[in-house]
Amino acid sequence: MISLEQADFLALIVLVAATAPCIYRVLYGPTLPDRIAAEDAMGNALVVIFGLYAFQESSIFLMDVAMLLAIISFVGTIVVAKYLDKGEVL
Amino acid sequence: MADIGFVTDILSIISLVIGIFFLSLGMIGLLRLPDVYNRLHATTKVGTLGAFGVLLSILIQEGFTPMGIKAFTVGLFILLTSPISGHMIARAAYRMGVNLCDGTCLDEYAGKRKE
Repeated sequence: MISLEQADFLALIVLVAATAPCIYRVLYGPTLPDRIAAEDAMGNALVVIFGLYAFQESSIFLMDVAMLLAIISFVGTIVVAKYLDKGEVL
Repeated sequence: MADIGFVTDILSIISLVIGIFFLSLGMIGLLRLPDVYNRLHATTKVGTLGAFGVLLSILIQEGFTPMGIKAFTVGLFILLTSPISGHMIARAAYRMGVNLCDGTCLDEYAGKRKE
């Protein structure tokens, strides 16, 4: 029976390994919306990584970093999608 | 000997394993599926459930402390905003003219694409 700290460490390793397909899709994606979708998925994975790391270090401020990263990632995705759709941002 | 800490540990590990499993499955779908729309189907639904599962496991483990409530807030924010961004990307891709994959059997917007 493994302890909770070891479980969180293994989960961090799996999550960092799970960002590799996003980096591949950002680099070699055939079309431009592929790259944006991969960037959005990598933003979600990075938010979860920051959350788990904040829980492991028991530091509240790193959880603020996770929340800020979620907001910035959402706004960036919306802006790039609107730019691709209409050719202008606002 | 039903200890409350033991029960929360078990629930937290179950939620963590579910979250990690679905998030890895979403990333594998992003790598292997043939089309932009199929890849969005993998990442925005499966990946969102995975992220919410992991952050819910932090809430179960910590209780209603500031860290647990912050983690649950981040999870709710991802659960609200990820379908919106997926919808925007799919709409932009279709109106930009990205073609569907070869196995598509129905395209209801086929004649209405913007020139």
